Amino acid sequence: MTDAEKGYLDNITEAIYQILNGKDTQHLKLPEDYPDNEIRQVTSYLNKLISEYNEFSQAMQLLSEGELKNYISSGKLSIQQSFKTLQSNLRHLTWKTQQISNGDFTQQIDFMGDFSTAFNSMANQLKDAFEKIESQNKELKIANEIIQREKEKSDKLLLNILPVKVANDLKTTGTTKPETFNNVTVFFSDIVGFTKLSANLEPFLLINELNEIFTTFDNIIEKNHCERIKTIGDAYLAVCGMPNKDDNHAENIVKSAIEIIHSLNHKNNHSKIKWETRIGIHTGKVVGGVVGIKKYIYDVFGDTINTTSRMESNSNPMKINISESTYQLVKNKFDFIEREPIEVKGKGKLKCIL
Amino acid sequence: MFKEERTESKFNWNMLGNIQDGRPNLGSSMDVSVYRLMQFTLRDIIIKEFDVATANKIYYQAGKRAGEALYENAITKKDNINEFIVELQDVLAQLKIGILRVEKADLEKLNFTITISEDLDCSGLPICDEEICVYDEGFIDGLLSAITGKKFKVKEVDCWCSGDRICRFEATVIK
Repeated sequence: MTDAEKGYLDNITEAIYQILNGKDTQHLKLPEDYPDNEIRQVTSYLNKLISEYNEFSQAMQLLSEGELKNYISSGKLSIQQSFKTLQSNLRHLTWKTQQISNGDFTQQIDFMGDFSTAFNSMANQLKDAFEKIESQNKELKIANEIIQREKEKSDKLLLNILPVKVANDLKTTGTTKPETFNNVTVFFSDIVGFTKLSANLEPFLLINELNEIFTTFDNIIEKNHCERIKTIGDAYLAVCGMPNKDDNHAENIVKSAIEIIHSLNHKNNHSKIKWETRIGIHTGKVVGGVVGIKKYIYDVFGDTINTTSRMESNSNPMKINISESTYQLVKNKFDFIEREPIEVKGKGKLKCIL
Repeated sequence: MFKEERTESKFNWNMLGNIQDGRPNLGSSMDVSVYRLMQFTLRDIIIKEFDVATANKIYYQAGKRAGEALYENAITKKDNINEFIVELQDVLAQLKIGILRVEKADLEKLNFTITISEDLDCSGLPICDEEICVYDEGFIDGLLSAITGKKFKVKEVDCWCSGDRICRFEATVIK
């Protein structure tokens, strides 16, 4: 063996050593005119091995970092083929996982030994958990719908007994403060001879009649932007200008009163039982607030309420008796008959208008 | 029926006959080598009588017709492509055609990368630097065309014969 051949053999040994010790290995070079002998053949094979090994190392590095996009080129090295199969399986698993993450739990992995068993078990458990959550969501949705329906019912009930603004205050803050309203017109009515009439009627029929009358009152009051406060037996109390301010409070109440008289006349024309009412109206300052902590009621207080009651008691059947203060607000909108001042209990003589 | 002259395909699933009745003792299974014996002798003679291009064209078209027929007769999930793939994997495994796996499925662009391992046509063949699964190319084309209603071009990019353990196919829709 020549010294040159020994040198090339040393280079080959060094290259193999570098591969075995995980170092970068470069191709070996021989002079172009180097004879076609065993040294050239070994060098050629070793260079091919170095190429494929380097490519494989780079691909394994990328794979270890989770990079699956780059395909490694084909080769006859057994380890290279196994790597390509592994890469293909990982790409397939990635796709399967994406399908499962999109909600397709029918995806399964086959022919991958223990991995298939574990993956499919995971997919099945995810499917069970997802179905359980879906089922719970459905139950929750039904429960929410029931709650929503009940809430709507309770809201409706609340609005039946309280003005919208007060009901909303109670719902959002749990409380509502009493408030003074300076410009409110109050409506008070009473059925004439109710006690006497009711004594001759069956209780069921009596309640039906009263219900029909007050339902009509309610509709008229609501239509004219007024607020029914309460009924006390056969008496009916309503206001306008509170809790929401309304510049037409007096006009709205008088209009309601006229319509109520008309409605009662209409009913009497079509019924054997004849009902008559007296109506009193007054305008002034009113305090409004919720009374009690159970069976809430929004009530109104103040001298204006008392005066309205006096107006009512001094009215005539099927007439509307309004005070001077109300008259001044609506005198140009309706026709009136001025009465002689009336002695009102606790108030002295008051000017009234029919 | 089988030997009629034709200008359009007249193949239908009934031509496969009633194998249980016809083979009560030997059954529906046979050795893979027999299938390959027919595949490669047929290819051999077609190339000898015509050329490689003609052989590839015939194999691709026959594979495509087989894929369409399999879709029509063995696939039930035809409304959702992901469910279709799941069922196709089962059908191909049950029929021992191969283990189909999807590496990529772009349902918007209709591009797919599909692999088949333990392939009936080629797994275990001598390595010869050729992609040999032309019949499979057509077969996948037929299946994808049937489920999507679009025309496809399917090309085998890795094959057992070219030194891989799996066959990899790139399927792209023809616009």
